Amino acid sequence: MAGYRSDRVARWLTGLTTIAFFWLAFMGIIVVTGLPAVKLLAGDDPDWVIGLTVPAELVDVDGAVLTRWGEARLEVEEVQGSLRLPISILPWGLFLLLWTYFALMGALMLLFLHNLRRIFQRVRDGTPFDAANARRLRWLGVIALALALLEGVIESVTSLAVRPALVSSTFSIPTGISLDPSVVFFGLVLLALAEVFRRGTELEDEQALVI
Amino acid sequence: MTLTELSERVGLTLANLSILKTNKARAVRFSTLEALCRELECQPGDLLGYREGD
Repeated sequence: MAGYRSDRVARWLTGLTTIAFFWLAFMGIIVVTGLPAVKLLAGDDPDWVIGLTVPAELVDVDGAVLTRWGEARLEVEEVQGSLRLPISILPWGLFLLLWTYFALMGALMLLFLHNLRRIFQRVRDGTPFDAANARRLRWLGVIALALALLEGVIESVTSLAVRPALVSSTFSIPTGISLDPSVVFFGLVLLALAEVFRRGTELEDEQALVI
Repeated sequence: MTLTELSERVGLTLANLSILKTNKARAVRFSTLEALCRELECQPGDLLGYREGD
C-alpha cells in the first residue's frame, strides 16, 4: 500500500513469529526423527525418558490444615503429574501412539504459527483486512480447538494404557476425556474474531469502490 | 481532454476514474461529483442515470 508506514509492533511480531516458526520446525524434526532412533538404539539406557502428563488423584491426603486464624480444609483437585517412563521399557504400541501425538501436535502448532505469521505480515504491509486473513483467523480457531481435543483424547488414551500397568503407586489415574477449557475458549474467540474480520474485509472492499 | 488530464484535475487516480467509467463504483462522494461537473462543465444529471434492475 503506497505511502503506508508499518507499525513497529507489527514488524516485531512478524519477526518473533517467524523465529518461533522455524525454531519449532527445527525442534519438531529433531523430536520426530530422534524418538524412533532412541527407541531402536538406546538399549536399556534409563536416561532417555518420555514424560507423560497424566491427571492424578492423590490418595491419603489429610484435608485438615491448621492456620493462625483457625482450622481450614485443603481440597486437592486437578492434580497433574509427569510420569517419566524410560523409552526402553515402553511397549511399542504406546510408543507409536505417543510419537503420533507429538508429530500431530507439532504439525498443528506449526500450522498455527504459519498462519499467525502470515497475518502479522499482512498487518505489517498495511493490508490486514483481506479475505485471506479472515480465512487464516478461522483456521487459527479451528486449530486451537483441534489442539484441545487432541490433547484431551491422547491424555485419556494414555491414562487408560498406563493405569493398568501401575503396580504400586501413591496416586491413581482417573480416566475420561477432559478438555482444557482455556484453549477451547481461546479457539472460540478466534472463530468469532474471524467473522468480525470477514465483515471488515467486506467493508474494506466496498470502501475501495467508493470514489 | 484525456483521462489522464481529467484525473489530475479532479484529484482521482486513473484506476478510480476507470472504475467510474466502467460503472463498477459502489458509491460516489459529493466532492468527486462536484469536481467532475466542474471540470467537464456539466450537471450531475449528465453523469448519473437510473436503470431498473441495477
